[in-house]
Amino acid sequence: MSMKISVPRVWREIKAHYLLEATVCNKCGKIHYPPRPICDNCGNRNLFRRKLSGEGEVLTYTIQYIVLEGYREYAPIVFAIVKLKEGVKILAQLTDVEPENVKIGMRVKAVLRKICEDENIGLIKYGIKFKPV
Amino acid sequence: MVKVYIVGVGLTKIGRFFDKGLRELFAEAAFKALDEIGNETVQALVIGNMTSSSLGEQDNLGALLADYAGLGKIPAFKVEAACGSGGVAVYTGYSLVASGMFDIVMVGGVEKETEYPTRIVSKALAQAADAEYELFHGISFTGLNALVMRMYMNEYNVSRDEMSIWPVLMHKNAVKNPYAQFRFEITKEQVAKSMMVADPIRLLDSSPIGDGAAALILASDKVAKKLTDTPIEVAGLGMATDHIYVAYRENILSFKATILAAKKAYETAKVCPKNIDVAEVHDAFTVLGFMNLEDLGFSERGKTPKLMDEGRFWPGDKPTVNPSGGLKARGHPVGATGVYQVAEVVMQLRGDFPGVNVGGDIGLAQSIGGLGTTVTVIILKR
Amino acid sequence: MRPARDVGIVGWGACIPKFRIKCSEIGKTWGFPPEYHGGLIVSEKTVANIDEDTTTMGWEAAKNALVRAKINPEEVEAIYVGTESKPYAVKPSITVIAEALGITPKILGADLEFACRAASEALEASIGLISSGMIKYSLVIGSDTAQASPGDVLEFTASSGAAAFVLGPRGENTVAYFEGSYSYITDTPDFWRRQLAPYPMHGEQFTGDPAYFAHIIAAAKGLMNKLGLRPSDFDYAVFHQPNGRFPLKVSVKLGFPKEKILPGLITPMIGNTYNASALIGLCAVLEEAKPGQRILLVPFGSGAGADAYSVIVEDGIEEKVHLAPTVKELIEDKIYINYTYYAKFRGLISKFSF
Ligand SMILES: [Zn+2]
Repeated sequence: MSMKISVPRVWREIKAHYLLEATVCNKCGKIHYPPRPICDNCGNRNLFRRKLSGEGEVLTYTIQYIVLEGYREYAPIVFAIVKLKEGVKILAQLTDVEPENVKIGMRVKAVLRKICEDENIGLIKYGIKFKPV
Repeated sequence: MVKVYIVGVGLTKIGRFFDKGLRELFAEAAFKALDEIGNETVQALVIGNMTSSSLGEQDNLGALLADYAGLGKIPAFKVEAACGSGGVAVYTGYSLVASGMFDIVMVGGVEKETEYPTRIVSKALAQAADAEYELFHGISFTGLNALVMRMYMNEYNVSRDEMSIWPVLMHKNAVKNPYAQFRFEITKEQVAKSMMVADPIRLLDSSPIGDGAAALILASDKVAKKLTDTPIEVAGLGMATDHIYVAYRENILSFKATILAAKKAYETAKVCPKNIDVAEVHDAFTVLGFMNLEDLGFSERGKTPKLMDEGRFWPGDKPTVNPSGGLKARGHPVGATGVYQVAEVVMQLRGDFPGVNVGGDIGLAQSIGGLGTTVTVIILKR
Repeated sequence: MRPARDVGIVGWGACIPKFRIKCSEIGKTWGFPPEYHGGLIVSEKTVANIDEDTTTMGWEAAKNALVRAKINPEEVEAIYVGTESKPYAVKPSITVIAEALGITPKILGADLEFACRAASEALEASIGLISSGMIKYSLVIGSDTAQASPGDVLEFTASSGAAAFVLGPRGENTVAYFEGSYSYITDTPDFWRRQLAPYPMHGEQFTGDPAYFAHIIAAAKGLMNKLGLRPSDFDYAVFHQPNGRFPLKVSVKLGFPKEKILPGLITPMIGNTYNASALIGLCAVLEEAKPGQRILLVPFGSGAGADAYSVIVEDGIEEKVHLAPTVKELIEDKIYINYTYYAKFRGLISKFSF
């Protein structure tokens, strides 16, 4: 028996991974994902948290055939950088789409999906993926 | 600041060495470098390495390697910046000498990547990315680079076959390099037919998994001349970092860290891109080769594949790019690569590189950790 | 049962996975004659994607229900999921769903189990909580990635899907309300899955008369008696639908004409989604019903129990239909897969340390 997925780590990042929570600068308005404590644009440390829309379009993508340990059953995996309507870019998987139908500019929306699991006894890791609208 | 010279180099061949571990690989390179300076005592050791912890279950690498190679009970430590560890090790070793703290410092780079199957090695290499927001999703390092390659080809309207000139030239250059992992030529057709790893990156777009070690002896101007007749000056250095989460960057088709590191290196060396005779750049994947030449100021955005197809950057051109064969064909023992590059440029300028040797007075080595996250640019002068 | 104060449906939503396998493909794989599954009246069934489970499908249905409800999700005060295919044997699914909907931590909630009827129990409980004034809105989810032993007749029908409803006090924003309900529960072991067993066992023919038919008929008749209604008073009837045949047969026994059944009979196109089975049927009916129409809803769960509800459609329902994907749209959006992919998606292939 082993524990390959850190439980505290998955737990403490739930808001960012389930809800796409970003931090927003209350001075210049820049939105930061992943959330960060200091604005990259103006240096302000006064940021508040906000959920992102989860709606956007594919900026670039790849179909990954050679996958990491623990991901063979999900292969091939489509990864994309998605530009949300807020202008924020996010890296995530695309799901419910046949790889040959993925296109740059394709409109997508966020869905909760299983990312991977710690064999059949450990934690199931959930997170946001995107599927075609 | 004290002027710093490179007075000795040592390399192992790169490959899959199931009979050698971290210590054996390092000792082989270290002994060669020490032989070049008549086995003079080194005062400190800096090691560039990425995966000793994740794949080798080995931390405390400095002490292990200093001891095994018989360097004595000297200060020794590892620096880590993923695939850019080697460049950062040189950067660190340079500071130790330039500051006046030491007169002779060894900089080593060593990587042992063939202890486990690919899917496990890939996981270790993917740790170069943001563990909590990139690796979280299961993306491999090749996958991340594939996102950039598709964007590059789309943005600049470059075809598959136009991209293939990079690996074709790299393999051609590596044929004569006795240290290279791949010493055979390939064609564009072979690239286009090679296995798809992460679309559009194919196997022949990718640097291979391999073991290897490299060592340099850095010396202050006070002792350099006593140790060798052909000291090569470290004339300029630059290092910079960028957002690790690639999607956070404004422009994904240019590495800000390369631009900043190069600017600093050119300034300190008081040279500009057109003065560079020979360059070793970090082409872990085809697309990176082209982007690097653009970010280093050697070429125009999106035009590099066509220029290279027309003969630009081939041996004899200025700069000649990757006469070693680059990461693609010389090989990419991750944390050792940056040290290999500097050693190769030293040999180019000394005129004793045993492969394609183009000579010249000024050379450049660029090393990248992560996807453009940590970059060092080092300029050497004869 | 009639609540002290009327409770209604504020929003509804379904999740129907994109992948389908044809029953003929399953039959061929196991060497059944082509006519074998004809009597089930199910032509194909949904297959959850490799990254979908009860939790993610429940989330997606809930998200659609919240969009149609047009309320601030934080106003939801209770969340229940009825399922017999929890990803964890111990650890609630609703905590993940609630967190991912952004409605934690001031909520009630639990995963409920009563074979295919658990989500219906959640409906009853929510009606009680809301009518008593203890809470305002409740989110009720039925979600299953139904298990079936490979080669078992159950494999032709056991599919994946989810349905969700936001319930609240009858008023401005409800689009239908519960006129009354009637529950009927006995110890009838027609279908079960023991602890640690991967697949359920069933009594084959025994699942029919003493279980499905006896309970549904008793609940439906009980409700109609209590409310003084007859089949002709209903515009639609939706029954639990383990296959295409049983609901048609039970409607004949109860005296409902076929045209009142067909709009809510979804299993022939997607298979039996267990806890979502009758509820997806209700979603489909809500998407075509007109204000003032009356719907009979009778979910059933093995073991066994049935609940009959009379649901009356209210004004404003049409405006909410297209705020989220309709059942019809979800059924049409599909990708066919063969048995190999099906086996991979359903985890029927055991990998060894890879
Ligand atoms: Zn700011």
